[in-house]
Amino acid sequence: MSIEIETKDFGTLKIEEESVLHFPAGLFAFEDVTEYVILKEEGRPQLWLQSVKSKDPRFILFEPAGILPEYRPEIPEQYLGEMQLQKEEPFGLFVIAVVPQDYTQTTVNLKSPILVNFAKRLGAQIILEEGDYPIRYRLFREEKGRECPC
Amino acid sequence: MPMLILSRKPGESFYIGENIEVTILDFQNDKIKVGIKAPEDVIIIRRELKETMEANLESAGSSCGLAEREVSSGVTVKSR
Repeated sequence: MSIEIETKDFGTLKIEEESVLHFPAGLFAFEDVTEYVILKEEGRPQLWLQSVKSKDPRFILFEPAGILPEYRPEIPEQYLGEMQLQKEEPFGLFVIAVVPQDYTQTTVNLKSPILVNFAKRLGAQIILEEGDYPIRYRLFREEKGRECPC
Repeated sequence: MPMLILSRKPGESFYIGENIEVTILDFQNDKIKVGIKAPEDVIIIRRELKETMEANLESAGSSCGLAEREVSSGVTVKSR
């Protein structure tokens, strides 16, 4: 069944109810918001983690594969279990971006990625205890005059 | 802010202000266990969690140059 949702960036959108992802614990600082969809737009690298119930909150995501191929953190088993993932089962991994007015200062949080089990429609924001991952990793290094990837 | 540096052994403790007591309980390999006695209204939070909450709030407020722009027909839901 399709439902209509209000989005922060794209007005009203029709989505399939089955595409809604359930985040049982919400996101940090947004523990009460548990239903989201991930939106993508043709030709743009970033994604939007949009709340289904209202246009706020929505977060800006990137898929590490496109921007940081070397970022392949080991996901603690505890989190795989919570997301009902078997050991070798594929999962979605996304990082949350802060995009200021000057987009060249865009940072992504490598310490606390979003883990998604698309098959089970489950998601969570996790904190990687092991490994020295920055919370504000600058996406563009000393680059000027580069076109906004947004 | 300047940083005060103290050396303590497991079992020893120190106070922050009148009523927050921090005790070093144990250390093993690269981890230190601390116990904190504090009034209920004192918020104790791991640094990475506090900074993640701040970054989440900022991401939710980021416009990414998209504010009020026309609705694109190319927006789809990522489902895998």
